[in-house]
Amino acid sequence: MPEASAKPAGVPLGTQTTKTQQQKGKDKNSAGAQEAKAMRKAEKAARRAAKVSELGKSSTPPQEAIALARVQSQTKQSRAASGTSNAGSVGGGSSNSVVNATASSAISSLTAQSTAIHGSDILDKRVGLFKHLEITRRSGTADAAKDIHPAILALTLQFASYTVIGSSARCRATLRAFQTVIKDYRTPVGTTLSRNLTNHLSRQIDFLKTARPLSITMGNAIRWLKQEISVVSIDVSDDQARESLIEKIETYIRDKIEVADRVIVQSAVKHIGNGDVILAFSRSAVVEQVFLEANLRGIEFSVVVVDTRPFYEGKEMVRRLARAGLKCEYVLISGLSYVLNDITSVFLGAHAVLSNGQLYSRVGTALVAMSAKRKNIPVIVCCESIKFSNRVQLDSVTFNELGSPDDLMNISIDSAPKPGPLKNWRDLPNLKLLNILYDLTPPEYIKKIVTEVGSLPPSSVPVIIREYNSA
Amino acid sequence: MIKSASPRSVYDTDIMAPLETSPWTQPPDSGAAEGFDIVATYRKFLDEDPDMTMPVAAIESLVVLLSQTEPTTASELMDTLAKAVTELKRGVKNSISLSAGCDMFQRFVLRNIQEYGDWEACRRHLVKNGGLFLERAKASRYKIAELGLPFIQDDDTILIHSHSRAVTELLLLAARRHIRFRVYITESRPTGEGLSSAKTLRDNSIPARVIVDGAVGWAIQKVDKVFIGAEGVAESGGIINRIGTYQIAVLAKDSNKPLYVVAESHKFVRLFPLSPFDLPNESPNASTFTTEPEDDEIQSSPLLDFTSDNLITALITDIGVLTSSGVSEELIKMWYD
Repeated sequence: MPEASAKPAGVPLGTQTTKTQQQKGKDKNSAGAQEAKAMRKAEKAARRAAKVSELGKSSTPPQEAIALARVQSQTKQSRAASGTSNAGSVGGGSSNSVVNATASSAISSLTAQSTAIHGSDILDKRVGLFKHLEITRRSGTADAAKDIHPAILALTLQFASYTVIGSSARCRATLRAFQTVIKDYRTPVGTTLSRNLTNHLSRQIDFLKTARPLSITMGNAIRWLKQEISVVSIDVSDDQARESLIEKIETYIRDKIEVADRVIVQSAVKHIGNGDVILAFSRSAVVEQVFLEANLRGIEFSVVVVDTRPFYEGKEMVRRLARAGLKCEYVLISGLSYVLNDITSVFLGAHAVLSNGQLYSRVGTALVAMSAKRKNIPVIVCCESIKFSNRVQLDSVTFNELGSPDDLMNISIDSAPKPGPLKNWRDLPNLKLLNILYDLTPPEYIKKIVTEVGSLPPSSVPVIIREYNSA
Repeated sequence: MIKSASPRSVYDTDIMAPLETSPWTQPPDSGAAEGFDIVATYRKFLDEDPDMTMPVAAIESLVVLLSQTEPTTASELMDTLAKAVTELKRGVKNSISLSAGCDMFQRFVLRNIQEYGDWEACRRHLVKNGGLFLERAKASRYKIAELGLPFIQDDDTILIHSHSRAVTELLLLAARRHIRFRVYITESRPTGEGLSSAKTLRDNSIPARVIVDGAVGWAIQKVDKVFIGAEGVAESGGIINRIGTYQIAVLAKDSNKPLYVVAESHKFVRLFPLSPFDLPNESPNASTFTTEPEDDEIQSSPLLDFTSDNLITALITDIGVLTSSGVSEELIKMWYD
């Protein structure tokens, strides 16, 4: 997608190039329909303009008018391609609309309504090293195909607005949505459930991906679910098949996330002793539960929550811990070296653990782990085995996720957005903002990974993946 | 009837239990297995055979228990075993390597129960194969010696710590194969076990020199490689061993000398300490401070320390020469089904 839309910004506005550009754009199917519509509108406008010029005996040849109209349609096309769903509704009239759109996008908040990415301007504003990463962030569901289930539409918006955040939570929400999808699914005549449902789900998943890339947990769960669907016997009635699939998903959620979390908590809590000062970074649901459990067991310890912009996820954690009566300290990552002196151990959550032992987690984790290692403080990662990935990655550049750069501009510390000094960053030609979401922590910094199948060093991740696949 | 074999059940067994409840101070539970004193049996095995290691003696005592008791159901059997293991761990000081053997045997029994439908046949099979299990455990030391032989070369200067049967076995085999080498041995306070190592080696005409523990830093320059035994090999591939091992490992790492751990695979234990303070604390006095002079201060000094995996070059075991991550792989395979 970005390739198609990246070009118009750079090419000189000539009829010939515009045409080929549009031809290219047509190949990309999702933008195709809107683009064709815009084309028709633009040509109509051009014919009108030609008529006017003829009436007014103007010297402007109709050819030029058509070219002008095409340029307009092209700007619209690029906007449509970059995921702004309401591009079609922008009037085909003046070319000023592009400028207007840019201005109106200056403040974008974390809420679902915000349109984060606008047209080609954002593409020029991408940081060179990370240009290969897609910015996919949807703001509406107007362009959804009609076979996308409402549960998926809702979930997509929740993902896009970071209302549902965290890889376990996203996985669980996805599976629950799939349960609804499967419940409402009816096999079309002339096909079987085991063949058709997979396709149906794939379309739902493709739509989910327009909000954010799939998390590793979701990828693992989807792979499992598709496998389960494919082995549904054709002799089983649809009702039975649906019921058993829903049941299986329920078991999967329970075993892989809920029970797994409980086992991890029971095991990790043994690392907290009286008088400990534990550092946690950002927010992890499991780590939070570990602390609450330790508190329930009457262990006297305190927690330092290190947080980071732009999500401030740690706030939620510190709020919950404080409410449970724990002694907490809250500091931003810039104050890390200051608090590190008193820390006895570091607890981290994970987005994923790769098979070379690298921990893929919220950006800033690597910094925390490295600083802890430097002070010889043990770093313990709490992670369900569903987060283990077969992938190998050596740096956090090749694969990552980009958030909206506008999130960095927002200096508000509560939910209401407030633009800071960077408000006009789009107008500064030499300024680019990078809002990267994850980083990679090398295995040397990690002492131990606590999973539901036991505690292991990072080097043993591939063993678990292999034993699981063979089992 | 039979305990579920999901990965979780592994975790729920009592492997970690001693750490949190610290049962060392509690009096032993007398009513575990009527008329059979597991601790006494265990001690007898150790006394009778100086070559016997703690995990093997523990397994042997459990096999005896199995042949003497008449449990009627599988769960009763597991229960009896679990009780005996707890009693044994309570009754014996320094129970880490012992618990490795117990855990392994419990695992072995559990697996066999699942395989056999017929209960009586299962029990007979267990008693018979328990013996086989023991034979294998005992033979492993000789296998290790064969596997470790290529690591010793002519004109080597070797440093060993304290006394380890596996290391001694390896060195004796190397001498029998006409490899000529010298050995530095640490005195290993407070037990002084290094002296007995020196005697064994010299009796077998291996030139040896005993140094005090503090002299390792002096000797390490002249040492080519370090061989160390282990009380237990943790899940990370780190080792739990006689006090002083950690500092030797740090010194070896600093001077880039390879450090090999020589240990039987039945010493692999499902523990994952991050520091020596995660081990059962048998010398609580050592972490308190006083201004008063104390008489038995040296005696209350700790006996075990933990050496983390990054300081270990390789582990020479009966299932092959492993890296640290290889150990955790073996442990996962052993416990995962």
